This record gives sequence, C-alpha cells and structure tokens, in this order.
Amino acid sequence: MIKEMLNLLMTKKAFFLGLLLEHIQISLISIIIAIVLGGITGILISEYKKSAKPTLGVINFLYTIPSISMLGFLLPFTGIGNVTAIIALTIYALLPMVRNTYTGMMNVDDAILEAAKGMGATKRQLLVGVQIPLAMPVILAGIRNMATMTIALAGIASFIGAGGLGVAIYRGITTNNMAMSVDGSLLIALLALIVDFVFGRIEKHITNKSHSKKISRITKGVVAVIAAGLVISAIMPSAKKDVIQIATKPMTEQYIIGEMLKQAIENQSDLKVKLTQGVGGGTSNIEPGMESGKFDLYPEYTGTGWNMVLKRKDFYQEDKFTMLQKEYEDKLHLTWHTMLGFNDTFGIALRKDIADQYQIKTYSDLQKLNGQLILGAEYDFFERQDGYDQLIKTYNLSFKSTSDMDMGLKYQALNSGKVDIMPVNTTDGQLASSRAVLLKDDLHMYPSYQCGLVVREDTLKKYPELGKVLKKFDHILSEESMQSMNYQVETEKKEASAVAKAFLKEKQLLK
Amino acid sequence: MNTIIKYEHITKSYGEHEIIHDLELDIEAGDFVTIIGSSGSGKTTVLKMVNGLIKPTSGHLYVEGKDINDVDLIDLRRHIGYAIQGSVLFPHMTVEENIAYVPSLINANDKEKTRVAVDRWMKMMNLDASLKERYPSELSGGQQQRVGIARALAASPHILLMDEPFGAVDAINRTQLQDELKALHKKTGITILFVTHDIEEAIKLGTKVLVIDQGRIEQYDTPEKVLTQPATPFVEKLVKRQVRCTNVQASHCPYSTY
Repeated sequence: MIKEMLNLLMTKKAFFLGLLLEHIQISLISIIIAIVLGGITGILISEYKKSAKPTLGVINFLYTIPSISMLGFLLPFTGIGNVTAIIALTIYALLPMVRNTYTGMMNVDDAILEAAKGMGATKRQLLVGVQIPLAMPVILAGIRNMATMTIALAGIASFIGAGGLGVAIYRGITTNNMAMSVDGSLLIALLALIVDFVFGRIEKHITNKSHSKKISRITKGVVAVIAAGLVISAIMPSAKKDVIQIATKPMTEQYIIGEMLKQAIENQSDLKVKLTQGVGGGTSNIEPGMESGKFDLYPEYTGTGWNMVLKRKDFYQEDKFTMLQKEYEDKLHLTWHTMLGFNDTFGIALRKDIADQYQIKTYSDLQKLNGQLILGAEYDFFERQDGYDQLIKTYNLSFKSTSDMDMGLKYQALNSGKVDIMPVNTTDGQLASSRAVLLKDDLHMYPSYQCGLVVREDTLKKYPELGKVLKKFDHILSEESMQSMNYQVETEKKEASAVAKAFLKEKQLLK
Repeated sequence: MNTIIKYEHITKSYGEHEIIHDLELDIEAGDFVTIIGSSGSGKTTVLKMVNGLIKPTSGHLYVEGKDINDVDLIDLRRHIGYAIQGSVLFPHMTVEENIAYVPSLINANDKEKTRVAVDRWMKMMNLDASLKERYPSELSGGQQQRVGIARALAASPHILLMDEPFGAVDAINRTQLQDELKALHKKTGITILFVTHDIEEAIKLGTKVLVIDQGRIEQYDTPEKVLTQPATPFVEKLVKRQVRCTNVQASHCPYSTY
C-alpha cells in the first residue's frame, strides 16, 4: 500500500502539485478574506459592545450548518467552482477569527486603555497603537486555528467542482483507487501541519517582543506578495477565451469520456478544453452550470435527464427521446448532440457456463431455471422498490436461494461459483473480466440510461467546429467497450487519460 | 495668586446616586495637592474630571482659564500628565517607546525632540539609559513606577494628575519615590493633583491637602492646618490615625505620640 502510494505520487507529480497549489490558493484566499473580514468584525463588536451578542449568535449559527448543506445552499446563488468554495470556507473561518479577535480585544487591561486615553490618544491611536497590538497574541492563536481548519475543510471543495487536493480524494473514491485518496488526504494533513508550524513560529516571534518588529515586517511582506500572486493567478485563467468547459460526474466512465473529449477536441480543432472532472452531486450540480453557461457540455444519461432534469415522474424508454430532446431545446437551450452508444442501467448478469448450457439470453429465459439458481446481491437490492420484488413479479421468477453480500465481493462470489446470478450495472468494469454474461431486459423493466453528450446551443453556434468533432463520437462506444475501459482504470489502475488515448487511437480519432 | 484649575458648582451623579455634590474649588498653579478620602468618596472622580475622562453632570471646570467643554479634549489630555496605579506601562513597547508615547502623539515628525525629552526625563527619574531597550516586564516594580512618571511628564505638561501611583509599591521603594517626587515638584514647579488613601502620604507630599467625604469637601488647607485645626469631625478622625507627624514639627501636632 505505502509503495503504491509513493509510486503514484512520483508518477503523477505534476497532477498532485497542481492540486496542491490549487488547494493552497483556495484556502489562502479564504483565510485572507476571513482575517480581514473577521478581524474588522471582531474589532467593531468590541467597540460597539451591544452588537457583540447578536453578531456572534449569527456567526455561531452559520458555523453549525454542516459543510455539505452549506455548499448545497450556496450552489444556486454562486454556482459550481472555486467561488462557492471560497465563500463557504470563509464563512466557516469567520467564527474562530471573530471570536478570537473579540476576546483578544476585550481582554486588554482596562487600566492600560484608560492610561492611553488619559494621555491623549485618539480613538484610532488607541485601537491601532495599543489595543490591537495587545490583543495580537490571542488573535494570532485564532488565525492559526482557523488556517489549519480551513485547509482541512478545503478538502470538500471538490464536491462542488472546485479544485484542490479534495479532487484526488474524490477521484480515488469514485474510481476505486485507494492510493490516490490516501495520497490526497495525507497531502492535506501535511499542508495543515506545515501551516500550523509556520503560524506557531510567527506567534512565538511576536510574543517574544524583542524581535517582533523586524519579523512582523518580513511576514507582512511575504504574506502580501503571496496573496497578490494568488489573487492574480485566480483571476487570470478566466480571461482566456475559446475554451470549452466540460464537466463530468464522479464516475469512472465519465472520467474516461471527459479525457476522450478533451484530447479529441484539442487534437482536431484550435479550441482549448477545460475539464472539471468528477463534480460532486453529478447532475444536480452540473446541470445548473450548463444553463448558466459555466459549462458547455457534459455526458448525461437519457433516463436521468428525463427524471431529474425535466422532473418527469414516469418511466423513461427510448421511444420518448424526441420529447426529451424537444423539451431540452425549448426550455433549456441545451441539446442531446451525440449519443455515445452505451446504456448504463441496472442489469442482471448470469454465469457464462449456465447461460451457454441453457441458451439463456433474456430475463424471460430465466423462467426455464426457476427454483434452481442462487442470487447474490447487495442489501440495497432487496430493499429497493425496483429491485428484487419487481424482478420476481415482472418476469415471474423464483430462485433457489438468495444471499446478501457486499458489492466488492459480488464478482468474486460469482467467479468462484458461490452464486449464479446477480444484479449489476451494465458498464461495471468487473463484468469485462468475469465469467458472466449480461442478459437482455426484454420486458423493459429498467429505464433506459443511454449516454449522450448534452451541449449548449450557444456554444455550438459559436464554435461550429466543435459540433464536427463531437459527431465523430456518434455510437462509438458500447457496454462492452465501456466495461473494458472501466476495468482498465479501476482494476488495472491505468490512467483515465491513457485509456482514453488508446481508445481514440484505435478508432483513429487522433491525428 | 494664579488659579490653574477651577471647579465651579460641579456635581456628578450616576442615576440617583450622587458622587460629587456642588464642588467649589480653586487650585493654585504650582501647588502639590494631595486628595484624600475613603474609597467611594469621589476623590478619583475629582481627579479624572480635570482631563475629561469623567464629565460632570453639571457645573463648569476651567483649566488654565478655559472651560474644558470648549476645548479639544485630546489636545487637553496631551498637555496634562497622567499616571495611575500599578504597572500600566504598555507591555508591547520598550521603556523608550513608553516614555516617548505622548511626545510622539503630539509631534510624530520631530523624532530628535522626542529623543531629547526621553533622555531628559529618564535622567530626572534616575533611570539608567541602558534601560531604554527593555520591556516593562523586564523592570523592577520601582523602575516601572519611575518609567510611568517619566512617561506622564515627557511632554512637559503644566499639570500632573496621579491616581495612587505608589499604591502597589513596597514600603522602601515607596519612601524613595515619594522623596523623588517631592524633589521633582520643587525643581519644576509643576502643579500636581495626587490621589491617595494614605493620610501619611497625603501629609508628607502635599503643599495642600484636600479631604473629601461623600462627594463633599471636608477641608482644603495646608498639611499643618489639617493636622492642627481639623475642620470637621471627619477630618479629626482621619488625622487621629496619623500617629506620627512626619511632615511637621512634633510640637505642632496635637495627636503626635511624641
């Protein structure tokens, strides 16, 4: 495991370094905003004491909102990406900052303040020359706490499509790459520790009064330069043009498709592609970004579009595609531009030897073996409305026995013959390597989830060359090829980009 | 005679509670006025009205002929020295920065002038120049009080307000500081208002003693008169405790044990 992690770190140095810088950028901007905003608030409420209680109450309340709901709450207003992450992080950073500033200011000895006032200090001189410097140790302790907390919390920023090391964690989880998740987490922890150490040193120097002046001047300088650099670099990329923004959901196949699209578009046109991979929450977060123009295109599934985006309650089958397309174009100004040719839906896999022996190709064929097969499935399948009960009822089936098992162990059980049949996802990477065949849902019990590229109509008009490239993806994939590529990434631990490249080469989509 | 501070029908109350009752008082320039009374008598209030830290409920207070309602309080305070009890030096500033505090508020640009003032007052308060770079926490209690007085005097004010400045100093240091303060007063001719709850200190230091009780003046006179001719039973009781009359001839002191 440790060796795997180190290997990954070394081979993907640029990837992790990029994420690390992004992580530092997001957290540092939030920290700086929180220091300024929280500091000013803390000072103000220590001056106008009546406002202290309500202000702290409000900030306390914000602090108690779980971070995931905070992000969800902000999404409709600020959309997906770094801005929302920075706002959320700043809100969480405010409480320790305001509280410590306030406490620090209130704890300054009244006699000292009266002495300064009695000697003719103006309100400003009192604040800047006496009260703030004396409150500084407490304020600094607050900043130190807040900074480490913000760095750790920034790990969830990837959930809403922002960058940072959370991307590695999240990608690791969704593509079954433990080493990547752990590497991401460790880097975050390391960063937090380093920042804590640095602030600890600054704190020590400031409390150790004889050096305070020199150090604080140097620190101020360094902080100012870093902050300016980060702010500039944060603004710069948005100034670029002719960039196609592509989003993908946190699923292995979508990571691969994202890479394919990027490589093909950049290879065959002058357009640049910015990939926002593995956006947490998938459709519910990407789709609003499509409507607002933050994203130009993303791979979506027809059934999801029907039920989640158009909010239809009925069951989706491909005969409704014309309606789906019309409503997308009329209401959302988005179009299902190219269908990729595979259906990622629920399926039933049967051991190959049994399927061959009894000539079983569809769910209905299973009736031949009623009462003879052992079905293995995760617990969820027996609880779900469209799970076990519906299968039995629709196809009039019965099994010899059923057994609950973990998703990860399912394929092992099938390969070793402990179970004969099991529910799967039609693009499961492990299907490619296992001794199982997918049966046909001949009575259409499950909705159809054909994968297609949803694109903004504006973008297509503006860049006609994009449409040409995308058309080449028409029915280029199948369940089998998707399974096999998922397998290469999830089990063989190949890079999504390398798998995508090999596929494009094979299909002669790279010049 | 030259009146430097004039209290005219001054009252002060917090809600129903009256702290100062119709105070009428003229303080002559160059006097060393010790203000004595039990705690809650209003003695500190009388002091803090001079630099506007406490505003009278009614009446007028004149400093060097001007009603303090008509002058800029910030400017007024910068020209009145102020020293209070305990170590209230700024802990984040060196000795030099502490003493230079008021001069640098008044004139931030003329650093040379400030430096000269710091040197002068450090010398006057018997503070070694090597202490300049020290922080208050690195000083002894006596040194801290000296720095505090030097800080109060650094802008060469005409008036010095002191609120129990030696309250937290041990007996030996206290006697020495009292002697130095007395000498300093003689040398500079500055007007000093000095709040204390120690009758011995009040008698020893003051050229005038102001006895206050429950917001009213009991007596305002020279130490000799206060000792020999107490104006009210309160003053009589107060000076009775003063068994050793350090400041006057023992023969003039009816309550002396000598």
